[in-house]
Amino acid sequence: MFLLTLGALATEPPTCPPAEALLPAERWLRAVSLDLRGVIPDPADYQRITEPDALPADLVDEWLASDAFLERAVRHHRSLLWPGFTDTRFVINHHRINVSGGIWRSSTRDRLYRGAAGRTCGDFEATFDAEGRPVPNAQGREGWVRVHPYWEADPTVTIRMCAYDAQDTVVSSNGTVCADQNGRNDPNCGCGPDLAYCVSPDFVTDLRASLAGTLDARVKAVLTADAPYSELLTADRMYVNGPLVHYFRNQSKVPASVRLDLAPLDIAALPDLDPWEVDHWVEVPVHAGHSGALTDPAFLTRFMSNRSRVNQFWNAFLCQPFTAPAGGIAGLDVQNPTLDLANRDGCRYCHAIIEPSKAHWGRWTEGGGGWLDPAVYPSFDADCETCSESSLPCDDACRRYYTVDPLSPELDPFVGSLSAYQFLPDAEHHRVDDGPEGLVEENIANGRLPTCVSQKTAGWLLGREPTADDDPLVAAWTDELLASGWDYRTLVRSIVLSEPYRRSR
Amino acid sequence: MIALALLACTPEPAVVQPDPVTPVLRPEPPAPPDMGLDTVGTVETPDAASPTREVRRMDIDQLDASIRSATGGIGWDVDGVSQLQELSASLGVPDFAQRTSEDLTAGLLFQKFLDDAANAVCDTLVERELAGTSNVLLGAAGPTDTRATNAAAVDAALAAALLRYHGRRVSPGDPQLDPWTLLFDSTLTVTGGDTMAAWRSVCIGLIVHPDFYQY
Repeated sequence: MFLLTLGALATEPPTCPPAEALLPAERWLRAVSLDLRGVIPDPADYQRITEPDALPADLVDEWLASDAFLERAVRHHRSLLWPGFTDTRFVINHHRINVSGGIWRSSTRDRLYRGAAGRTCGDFEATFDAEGRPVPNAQGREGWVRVHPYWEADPTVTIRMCAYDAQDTVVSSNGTVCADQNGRNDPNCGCGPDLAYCVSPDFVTDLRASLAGTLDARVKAVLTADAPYSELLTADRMYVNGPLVHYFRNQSKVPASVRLDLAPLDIAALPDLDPWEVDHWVEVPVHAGHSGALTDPAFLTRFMSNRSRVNQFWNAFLCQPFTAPAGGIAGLDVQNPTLDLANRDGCRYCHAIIEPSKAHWGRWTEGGGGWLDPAVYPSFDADCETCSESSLPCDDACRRYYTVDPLSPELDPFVGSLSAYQFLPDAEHHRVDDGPEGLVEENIANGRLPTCVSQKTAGWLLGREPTADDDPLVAAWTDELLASGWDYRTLVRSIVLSEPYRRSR
Repeated sequence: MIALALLACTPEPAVVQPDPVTPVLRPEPPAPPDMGLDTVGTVETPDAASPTREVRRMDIDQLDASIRSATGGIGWDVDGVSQLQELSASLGVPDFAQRTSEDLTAGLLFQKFLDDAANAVCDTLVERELAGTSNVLLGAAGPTDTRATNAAAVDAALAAALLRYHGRRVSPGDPQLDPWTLLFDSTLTVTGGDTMAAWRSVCIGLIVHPDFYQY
């Protein structure tokens, strides 16, 4: 019927609305409302239009001050920082638990507890010996116990869990700290008190969302406080919620694909938040090595290598993507190329910039977001040099963070040095100490960063990437941003009230 | 074999010529509607050298919120769950792991789900409007008012809807209102005077119109 009536529409000559070189104030207001609040205006909002060619400035300011604007700004910054963690694994398999037949367990501990993979506990209530150990039946299966899991707010809620998995031991009789990596091989270790050391599928989902949420919280905090926008990339603050506090306290020492075991914050100083407090965000001070979003665990674990961190920073905040020139890169077929990409033919087209820049993340672990504290991890470690040059095995820290066992003589001069110093000229060593904040300051001083902030914001609001034709506009908006003391709302306000914004195509 | 034999024994049937008849012609089909294609208007385009804002499709959050705003709080929900949010991955919302940019094309899939959303919310809205528990669409028009019985109220409601849904301020008599009065009247005609169907058509038409989902 609807199609019939639409067909009937065609019996009258179509009437086009007036051509819109400049939008009427109502359409303009509608666009601004959608960009600043994510929703069309109310009828009452339209009544506040008093002039045909101007928007009510106080209404625009109300919208800029609203929580809805924070959400829109957060949305825009997700497109810059890419907080996506759908495949991220936070803890090793031994600490992942699932439910089957109404009984929870870690399937990868079956062999450890019951002598065979796939052998679960029995569906009966567990009994214990005099030492408190579960008593297995003739098939080697223990029963289940009821336990309150840490992720449940209601203390009366319990789940049935295999008794071995549910052991609440903190330090086993063998001296094993059950929350550490060694706990996975000790049959006297389980998931700890209230299962604190293990993750359920739902808690993994919460953790992934929480990690992404740290960046959202950071953007909101800068805008809520009317702080200079540059603090987004420089502030030595972090944001945690309940799941993250629980993770750092109980699960970060058994990492899988994401390593935050060298915690980027003081775990002992974390606020007391419950694991189910997903929406409760608390700001926590962190050490001066931090540099805003660029050292946020979410950014570091989303961009696992220092080169990818550089790449994303250049894309999102300097508007200078690393792309090959038209016609490709010459010189890539050189024989026996050097490992120093900044000086290798062809590669240096990009890596002359990337290599020294990645040194700014030199004190942040790759494959995770740990902090290499200079007090614990000096720029040169004689023990790492010694183990590398002898038959002694190098410890985990040397192998992970220092140059040891070089595969090429080119690396010999760097043996025993923090990996960040490989091929880094002496004059560039300050970059490791400066951290990402040094890179930010350098690009504030040369004007690239504020210009790119204007470009990206204009791209968001104009619905297209600015071109060279827009340079004068972008320059004017950048001047306004800087003159306002990096006030992001001033920048957004200037763009949505500008004639180019009103001139839609 | 027997059948063949029987056939062979059957006398030749007499050929009967049908009486000549005069064919009954169908009535003339209605003339196709005048689409106005023989008249070419003029379009005033913005100066190509002037910087502009690109018209673009709402993202899913904007669409969800705007449908609720336009309908006085009615969303396309099933068991309290927004279907637009449920379908967000299919509708191009990035997860920033596998997909890092938002697809804002108004493609077929988007149009299909927009149509589903419009049908769902407009059903509920018009039911509430006619029951008197909501008044964001009919305004001063009564549930049974038509343009034949109360043109001023119906036209005023259509003008208010155009402002609310599309941000277009029009006065009664403005040609921009004509397609919507025509839609209202045509629906009444084809449904035998069902005002609920007429307002529902207007509501759906307003939501699936590019002026709603683009800005």
